[in-house]
Amino acid sequence: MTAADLISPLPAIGLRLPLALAIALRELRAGAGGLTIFVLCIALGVTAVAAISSLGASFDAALARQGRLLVGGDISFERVHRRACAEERAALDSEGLVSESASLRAMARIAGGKSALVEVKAIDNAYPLYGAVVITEPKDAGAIWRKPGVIVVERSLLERLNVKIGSTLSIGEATVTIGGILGIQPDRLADRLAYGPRVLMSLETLDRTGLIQPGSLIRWIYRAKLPGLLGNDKTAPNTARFGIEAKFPESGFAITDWTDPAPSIRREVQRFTQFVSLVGLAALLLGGIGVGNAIGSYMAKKREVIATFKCLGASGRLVLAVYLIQALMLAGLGIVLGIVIGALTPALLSTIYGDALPIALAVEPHPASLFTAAGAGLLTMLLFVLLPLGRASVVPPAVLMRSHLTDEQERPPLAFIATAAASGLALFALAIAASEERVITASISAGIVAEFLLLLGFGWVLQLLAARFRRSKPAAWALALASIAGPGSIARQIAVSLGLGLGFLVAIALIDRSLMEEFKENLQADAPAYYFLDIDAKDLGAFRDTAEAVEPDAKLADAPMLRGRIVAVNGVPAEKVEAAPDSRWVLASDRGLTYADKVPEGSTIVQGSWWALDYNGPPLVSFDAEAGSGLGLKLGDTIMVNVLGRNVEAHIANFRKIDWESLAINFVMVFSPNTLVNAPHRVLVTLENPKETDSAREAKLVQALADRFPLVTAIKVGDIVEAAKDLLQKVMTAIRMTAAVTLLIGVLVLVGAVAATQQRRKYQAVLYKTLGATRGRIVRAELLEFGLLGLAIAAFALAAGTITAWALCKWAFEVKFVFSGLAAAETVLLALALVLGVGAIATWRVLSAKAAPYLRGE
Amino acid sequence: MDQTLKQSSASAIRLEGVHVTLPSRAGPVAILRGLDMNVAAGESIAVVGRSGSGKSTLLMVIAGLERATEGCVSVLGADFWTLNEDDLARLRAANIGIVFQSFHLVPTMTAIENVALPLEFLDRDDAFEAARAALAEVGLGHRETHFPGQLSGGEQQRVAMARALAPKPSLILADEPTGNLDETTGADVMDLLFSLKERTGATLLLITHDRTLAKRCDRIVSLADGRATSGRVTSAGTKRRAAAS
Repeated sequence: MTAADLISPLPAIGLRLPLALAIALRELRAGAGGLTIFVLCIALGVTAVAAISSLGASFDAALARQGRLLVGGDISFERVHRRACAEERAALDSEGLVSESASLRAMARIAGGKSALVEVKAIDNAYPLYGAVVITEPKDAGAIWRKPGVIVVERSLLERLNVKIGSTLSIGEATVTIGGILGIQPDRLADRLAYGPRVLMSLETLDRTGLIQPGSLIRWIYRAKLPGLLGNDKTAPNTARFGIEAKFPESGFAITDWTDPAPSIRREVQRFTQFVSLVGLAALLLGGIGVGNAIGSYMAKKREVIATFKCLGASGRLVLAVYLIQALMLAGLGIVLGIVIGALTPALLSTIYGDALPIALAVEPHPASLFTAAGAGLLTMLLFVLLPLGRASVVPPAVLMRSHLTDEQERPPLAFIATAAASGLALFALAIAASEERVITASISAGIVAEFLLLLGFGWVLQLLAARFRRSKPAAWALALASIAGPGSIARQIAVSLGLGLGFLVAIALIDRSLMEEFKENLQADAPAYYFLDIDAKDLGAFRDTAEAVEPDAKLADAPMLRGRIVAVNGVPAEKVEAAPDSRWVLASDRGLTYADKVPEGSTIVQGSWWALDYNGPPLVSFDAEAGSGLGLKLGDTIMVNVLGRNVEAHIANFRKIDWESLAINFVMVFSPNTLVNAPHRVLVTLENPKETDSAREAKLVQALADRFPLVTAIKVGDIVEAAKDLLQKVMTAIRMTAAVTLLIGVLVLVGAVAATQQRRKYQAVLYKTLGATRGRIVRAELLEFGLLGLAIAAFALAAGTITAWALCKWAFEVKFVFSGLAAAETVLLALALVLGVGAIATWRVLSAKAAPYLRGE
Repeated sequence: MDQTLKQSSASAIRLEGVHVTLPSRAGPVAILRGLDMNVAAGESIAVVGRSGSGKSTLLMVIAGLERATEGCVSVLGADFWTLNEDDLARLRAANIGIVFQSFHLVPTMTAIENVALPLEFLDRDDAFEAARAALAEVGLGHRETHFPGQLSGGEQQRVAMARALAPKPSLILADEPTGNLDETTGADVMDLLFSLKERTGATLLLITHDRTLAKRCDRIVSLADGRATSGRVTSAGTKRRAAAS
């Protein structure tokens, strides 16, 4: 009999899955051995991606589903200044049931002079075509606004003017009575940003106010409900659109329909979601590092078990299959947890913030988002798990015979390295494919990977520095530095796990501070205190006189103002123009227009030249240089705008650099006077008070103007700035929360990394105790180690966050960068708190380790 | 407490009625059951017995690494019941050197750093100088900067011995020091251990399975069922006593 006779033949199939599954389950039966962190890291990372993606999809679905409600009809036709004439109205009526409304800003005043800026919406009896207006008080008010002279208002107006239901107000030249408190309006999302409380009234009441004047800034909106089955036909709105556009090519209507009710909001939300998704991707990658640490530590503990399997006849493939099955099962658990929480996020947000959201989110699961998140989770798991598994598959049986104190590690086979790399590339490709702005996504993704590598490098540098000073005195320092420098050091893990999240938070805090300082600085500088809208040109002199009579040192600036929409650029219809994302806003809706014979204050010509004082040639226009660049414009190009129902085409004579931050009167487009001087229009005036003017004096001035000119609307610049600041803070909070999730995952990764070294730490502590170290010395050494690492990573995060914030302030936001000592201190404290918190728990466990289990002879 | 207890007391180790009982899922397990032992200063004792007889636990109790459940433990004149953990740690650093079967060197430290450790715990300014000298004494002066993973088993054990002896302890405890070494290396290590013991006059307690090794000590104590025999004086012990008198 030969040796070959004694060896049983191997089965033909490679993986022997059922046996691998049985062994995998038997091993897991004894507990996952520290793989809880593995599951949690995957779960949190997938949650971040799934939640963000689901929220974006929910919003899109809500827009699509509630399109009619948001538009207020199947299709809407909107323009500023001019009401539809009889012919236009007849054409609109032929499309279906039409509701007419007017939106404008006005002043609501009470006896005694107190006033407030309000957002007026005047509607006809057909409104609303879809949904219902909710009057919260009194409950049985019904459509009380239909009564002439009766209005319903948002509660904040009652608080602002200290009035109640039944009180009277003056709006324009009319006295109106408050009939109830306005709750939700169905088409609120489509309204522009409100600077004051909303007021609902009938068109008849609006007529009484005298606010409808030629050239006044009123938006006229005509909403149509298409008849019968056409209402459900997605192509029907286009038929109506083309019909009206063909009949009235220069009507100037901006047309939206229920299939895309708020295109600019949808785009902005999409952009925001994409940016936040990248933060989610960073969180997922960080979770992947935690996964890698956890599985690496788990497989290290399994080396002898694997060697035993192989001694007993298991092949490398079987070993790989066993542990791959375990990894897939646990990853699957994490992914399912992640997508369940992610899928529930829109419902959770709706439950907690329902009233504050502008629309009701579509809370059902969005499969595409969840599959993408699950796919990303799986690819991340493969990226970080394949190398440790690859090493495990080549563990030689001879490991059993060797000393435990040698630290050799097998190299994973090339196939595993290649597959891990392919998973990484696939993850990268998935992130780019799921994004609309692919170049930006690719750049930021590459940046995130570079950041991780930089953090790894920083951790390595810390180890080298610690090695340099390892013989420091006293002994606690020596022990701490030896632990940082030696094998099994957690320097790199701390750097990677916390560096990214802390860096994000620092950058966000500094950008926030810089933007807020910019707001403050501009307000303190020469920003006007008020804008006054809808002043009749013939009243301008009297307006100035009234202002100067109350405040002789007040500075007033004025400019004619109309509104119009760009309808074509170089003959290309506006909707087909390829604009840079930052410049799309110029084409999205109507813009303020003006004319001037001189270069406006706060502008500098950067290209071309201004027209002569008495210029009377073909229409010319001066264009904002930055917006022009985004639209790909050059000198001599033509811009066609629709103003008051007429298309006006002008050649670009020059480009201006505009200082928008000064808040002075500025317009994207300034026309040569001959273009618009004869069009009916009103005047915009800005008021700047001397610095020492207090609020009481300012209020007296505004009241005097309001009393004399009841049809003029006063907008306090401070209120606009506060509204902008408030919106900015909300956005920053959302971004901060995403960064906080990254930090949370980082803490989890750190906990996993420290847990993986716990056995070593306990053993070391026992050794130190055996050799004569007191508990106090051991505690000092442990806390010094964590404290030094925490300080180091705080310093790195501060530097990286500061550089990032500086670069973004300089090139993206174009504001002055302001460093904040408070943000720096908060970062350092947060880093120390996190690291020392984890360290304290680790140290407490280490101190309680008994010597015998570690020191007994075998 | 005076950390430096030289050979001032006639009895280096005195155990009276020592019990060690450890909790387990199956109920308390008695490891030592009323063990008595007396070891004179400068004596060398071999402790032999079957696996599970409590030899390692005995060493842990004497080293102050495990508390007796009952009974009197006095080492180098210090009553362990009056000492807290930090006191015991300080006692070990200054007076007790321990050599383990599995060496138990700190893997993140070089050879010289391992040897210097107990001296650093004693806040000695000359810790590294003394460590260097100790390493030279065991023939490893040229391996100062090597990590344990870079040394052979015999070299690791010699570093462990240098570490145990660098503070010039009054008591040396060795738990199967040659258990993980081959015969030749083990013999070399034991020759070194005994020669260092003789040079310093320290008391030695050696746990071993090796009868030949045990006979090199002055007395052999057997452990059985958690108790010790009074101990048989070996021929080496007889010779030493005769020389002393």
